[in-house]
Order: sequence, then C-alpha cells, then structure tokens
Amino acid sequence: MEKLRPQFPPRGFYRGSRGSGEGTRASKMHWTIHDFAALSRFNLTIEGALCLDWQMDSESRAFFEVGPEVGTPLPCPRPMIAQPIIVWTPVRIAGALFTSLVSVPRQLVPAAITRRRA
Amino acid sequence: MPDIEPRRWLYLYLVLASTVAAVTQMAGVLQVDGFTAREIGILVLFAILFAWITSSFWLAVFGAYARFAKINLLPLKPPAGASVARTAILMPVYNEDVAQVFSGVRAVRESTGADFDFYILSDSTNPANWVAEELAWQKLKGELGKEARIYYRHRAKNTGRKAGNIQDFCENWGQLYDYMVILDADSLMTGKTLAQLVGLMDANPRAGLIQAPAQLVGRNSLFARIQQFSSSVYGPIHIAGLAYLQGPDGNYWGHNAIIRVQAFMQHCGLPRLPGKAPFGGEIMSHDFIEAALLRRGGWDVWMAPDIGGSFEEPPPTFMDYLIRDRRWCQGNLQHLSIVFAQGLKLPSRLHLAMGIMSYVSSPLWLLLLIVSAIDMVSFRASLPAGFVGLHPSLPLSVSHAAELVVLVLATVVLLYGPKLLAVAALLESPEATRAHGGTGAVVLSMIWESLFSTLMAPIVMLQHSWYVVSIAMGMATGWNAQTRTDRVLPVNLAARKFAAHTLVGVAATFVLWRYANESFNWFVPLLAGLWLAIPLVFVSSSPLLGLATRKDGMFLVPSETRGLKVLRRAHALAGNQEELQDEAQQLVLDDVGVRDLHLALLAGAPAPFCDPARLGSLWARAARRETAAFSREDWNLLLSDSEGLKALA
Repeated sequence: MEKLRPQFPPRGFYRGSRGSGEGTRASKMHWTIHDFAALSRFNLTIEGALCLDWQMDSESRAFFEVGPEVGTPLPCPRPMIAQPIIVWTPVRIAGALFTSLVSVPRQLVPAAITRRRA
Repeated sequence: MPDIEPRRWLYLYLVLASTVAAVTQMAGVLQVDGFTAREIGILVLFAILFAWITSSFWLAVFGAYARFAKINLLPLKPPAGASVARTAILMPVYNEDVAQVFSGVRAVRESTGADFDFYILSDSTNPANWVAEELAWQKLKGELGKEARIYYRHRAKNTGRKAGNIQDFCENWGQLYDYMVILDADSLMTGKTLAQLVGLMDANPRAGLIQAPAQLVGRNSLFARIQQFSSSVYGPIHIAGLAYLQGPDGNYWGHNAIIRVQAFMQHCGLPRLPGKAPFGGEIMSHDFIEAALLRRGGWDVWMAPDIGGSFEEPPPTFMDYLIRDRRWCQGNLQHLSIVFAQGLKLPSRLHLAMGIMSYVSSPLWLLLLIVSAIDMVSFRASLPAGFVGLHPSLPLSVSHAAELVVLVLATVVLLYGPKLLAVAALLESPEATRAHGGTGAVVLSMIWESLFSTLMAPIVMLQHSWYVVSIAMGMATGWNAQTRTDRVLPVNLAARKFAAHTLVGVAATFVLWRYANESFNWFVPLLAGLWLAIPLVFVSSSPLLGLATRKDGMFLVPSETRGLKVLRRAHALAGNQEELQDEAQQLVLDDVGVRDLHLALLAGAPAPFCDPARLGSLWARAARRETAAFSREDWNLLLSDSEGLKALA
C-alpha cells in the first residue's frame, strides 16, 4: 500500500509555470487542479487494486457454494446488449454512397502538419 | 486457410457453368416458335431451381473429393494438454419429456466425469413438467452426490424462446465460464468429444464456436431409421463439402456446439425485429444469426466434420418431421429481413440465403410444374398449322426429345449423383462398410431409401409450399414442444392430415391424363407420392416395421451394429425413470417435501403479476382441492406465488 500513496507536489509548484501567481485566482485556491488529478489517480489505483481482488478468476468458485436445494450458483449478472441488425435498403445504400462521395475527397487530402502551438 | 478462395471461386464457376449450360439447352427447346411470356417464366424458374440443385450437387462433389483426398477439414491447432477452462453444458428444455431430458443429462455426465457443469434451463409452461423436472433434478442430485454440479433453473416466462433462455443463462452465470456447450433435449455427446472440443477452443483463441455435426441415432420407426441411414451415409460428404468451402465462415445449427461465452455475450445479443410475426418480433431461428454475428464480430466459426461423438434423435414420424419443418420454415423466412443486414460477411449471407431457399424452392418447383403443365396443355390446344400470308402451310415438326432427355438425365444425375458419391466414399472404408451392414446392405438400403425419398418429395413440396404461402399471408406459428417418442400414427390422423395431398394428386392426375396424355408418364413419379401419401405416412411411422427392416439388415447405422454406450445408457435410464409427469403439480399442494423443494427453487423469483383477488380465489379453491378445472395459467400462478405456498405450510 506504501507504493500507492500519492506523491503530492509541494504547494505552489505548478504556479511557477504561470508566472508569479500573485494576484491570480489559482493562487488563492487551497488545492490546484493538479492536486485533484493526483488524488483521482490515487483513488483509481486503490479501486483497481480492490477490483483485482474481487475479480472472478481468483474466487469464482465462491459463487458455487450453494445449499443442497438451491438450483443454481449465485448469479453474477452482466447484461447482453442487443446487437443492431440494420438492413441495407436502397435508401440507405444511396445515403451511404452520398456520404462517402462527400467525405472521401476530404479524407484523401494529404494531412497538413502545423507546428503552430495551439 | 489461405487456399480457400480458389476453392470457392471454382465452386461458383462450376455451379454457374452447369446452370448456364442447362438453361441454354432449355432455351433451345422453348425458343423454336419464339418465347412467350409463359416460356420466359418457365426459363427463369428453371434457372433458379437448376442452380439450386446444382449447388447441392457440387457441394457433394467437393465433399467427396475432400474425403477421397483425406483433406484435413478442421485446420486448427490440436489440443495441448489438459484444460483448466470452465465449461457449462446447457440443456434448454420446453415442455419436454422429463425422463428423456434427465436420462440424457445423466448419460452425458457419466461420460464426461466431473469436468463439466450442467445446467437444465427450463422454460416449461406446463406446470406438471415444471414440478416433475424439479423432482427429477433432486433425484439426480441425490444419486450423483452433492459434488455433482448439476443445476436447474426455471423461467416463469419464456421470453425470447430458446435464444432468450440461453441469453438468460449468459446474463446470470455466463461470466463464470469460458465455454458453453448447447444440447437439445434429444442430443447426446460423449465425454471424449466434449474434452476434445474444449481443447480445440483452448488451443485456438480466435475460435468463437465449433459445431460438432450431430449424427441421427436412437429411433426405431421405419421413417426415423431411413433418416438415420441417410444422415449416416449421405451426411458426411455434404458436411465435408460445407467444411471444405466455408472454412472459418461456418454456421451454427443450434445445438451440439461449443461456444466461447465471452464472444457470445459480446456479439450475440439478439434484437427484436421490427414489425409483427411471422417476419418481425423475436428471432426464431437464432442459430444462423448468432453464427453470422460472431463472424461479424471477428470470431471464427468452425465445423468439425470428423470429430464424432455427437448425436441427436430424428423425429419419429413423417408428420413430426413436417411439424418441425413448419417452425424452421417460419424461422428461416424471417431471415429475409436479415440477409441484407449491414456488416455481415458474405458467407454468412449465403448461409442465410440457403436456409431461406431450402423452403422457398418448394413453391418454386410447384409453380414450375404448374406453368409447364399449362404450357403443354395450351400447346396441344393450338392448331397444328401455320400461314404464309393468307396461304395455309403444313408445319415442320421438330423433335426436342434428345435435348429434353439430356436435361432430364442431368437432373437425375444432380439429384441422385450425390447419393452414389456418398455410397462410394463409404464403401472405400471397409470398417465403415461393415458398420452399415456390408456392401450389399448399403446398396440395397440406398435403393429403397431413394425410392422412399422420391415418393416423399412431392408431399414435402406441397407441404412446404403451403407453409411458405401461409407465412407470407401472415399466419405465424408458435414454438411448441416436439414429440420425440416412437409411436404408430393412428390411420384416421394420417388420413385427416394427408387427405388434401391425395386429393391434389388425384385432381392433377385427372387434368394431366385428360389434357396432356402424351406427357403423362413424365409426371407419374411425382403423382405416385401424392396418391400414396396416407399409407406412406402411416406405414413409415411403424416402429415394428422399422425393427423388422433392422432384422433384415436394412438401413443399418453404426450405432445399431456396434452399439453406442452413451445412447444405450440414456435409453436404459429413461426406461427406469418413474412416471412423474402426469399431474405432478398437485404434489406441491399435497406433499410437504415437494413443496419445500419447489419453494427452495423458487427463491428469488419475482412474485406473479396478476390480480390479487384472482390469486386469492385460486388459493381458496386450491385449499378446498377443487383444482380439477384449473388451467395451466392458473397452476403457473399458484406455483409462482411463493408467499401463498409458504402460507400453505
């Protein structure tokens, strides 16, 4: 668990990249957005570790510990999503053709590389 | 399979070339005095139907080649060592014979050992079946011990029919398993085959489904024995042809197949089709669609033609066969709205199209016969004279006998050639020949089978035509339980069901004899089946006659000559089962033990959705034991009401 502890940056660490920070709104906040990001990462790590513990493969037989007169193991629900079955009709074929006619020329244009910073 | 594309192109070329040659020949016959609209119609129908039988013929030729050349039809990595995968064997049941279901499960369980988990997934709507299944499950658990992982689940509503039943399993317990094997109520598989299938799935992670073709076994009626013989002798080359051409673009036949659960859950959730039944609503023939969806999802679907150890029982009588065909016909015609679905692979579309065509071909044959007969009659009615300007001239008679004989011979070869090829492939193996009773028995059985199937063909054609027309008119059918036990059909039942076929045969005979007397003989093979429909159906349902032919060495199959352990065991167990089924639901009211078992199995099920006053009234009548007039629905309400059942105690 020691490894999972978040390494928070020292307070004011990120402000340096935004100038002195004096008088800015961020400087008045107790936690910066970067601190929240670190906290989220920490939470995710902890939850991931817990999920790993709960994973089916390690303990799946626990679901089979059933009483003498219960018909099935404990359910482990997960829905099956109905798959789309969309039939090609003449209208859809025409639509797809039109879309490709419109979009293909744009897709064929060579990619332009811009080095200008966003 | 890198060389699969050339095979497919060659197959397509051969089908098209044969069809073009035959259509050209036919056009030569019809075009002498120019084409009429009717003749163009005949030519179009002829082209479609000739292509259809040609495709079947060349499939058999490819299959025979694959057999003779001993080509590996399942080019997958072989299983490597013992598997640690978890596999569930599912048996979805719907008002089936309880003894047969549980004896089948036990026979397969004894063959597999403790490596597999078994689920009996009941959708039974008959309350007697429901309670009898629970009791049979308890008995089986008691006999096999607590460690036997045999589970039972009942659904109050059979939403989605069989596909919904499997989906319900997947949604609740699918995550606990790597693979699932689907069995029908009359399916059997050996432990060796099941272990091999699991090993193949382990070794080939791209395989989403492997279909083990089921051999027909276990029935004694004459009709069923002929079916078993056909399946055993002719089946292998057709299956080999399919496997040779389809490769990883295979199909699923609904049972006796192993499926990767994860892939199935991800890709095979079936939607409701827009519109009402028979073309809309729940998908009935789900298996073809599931295979197509697996392929669309990038998984391989294989057929394992040589794996063996996979069996099912055929319908016992011709009538049961046709009843089953009614459902399949509706299911396959429903695929008309799916065959052009986006994203499906071309081979999947072809599987769907072939399924549709197997039923639509019947009305097309009928139409071709009717139009040809009308053409013959009207040709005879026209004056045998022509005019050059105003002057009469004698016509030159042109004989087309040679072209027609060539066409008829070609059709005969296309229809009966695959049978000869199949027998040749069988006779090549001395062991297989012995298992079918020897060369003489095989040849004699083939001749009788060909005669029988020729007589049955026009009856099937009429029946399928009616199915297609009725479905096109919007007449839907349900999905009722099948009759799976040998029995002689009562004569009056056969007469009632097949009187229409006989009448059609008699009427057609009169018309053809009267108006197309010269061509009458060509129609005799077709008409004979219709004249004899009632006696044929009645006689072929007889188990005694089936056993007599077996004694005479006719229609023998390996399961009869060598015996089949798993089948023998299933039959022995079914014979020893107590008769629980009739009125078993009454036991829930009368017997505390049965009620406790039922309540335990009902745990977690939702309360029945109905008017409380009605439920109260039913319980009051049940308390007074006035249950004789209860309907199935009444009983199902009571049996689903755990609170009411607890109050009884």
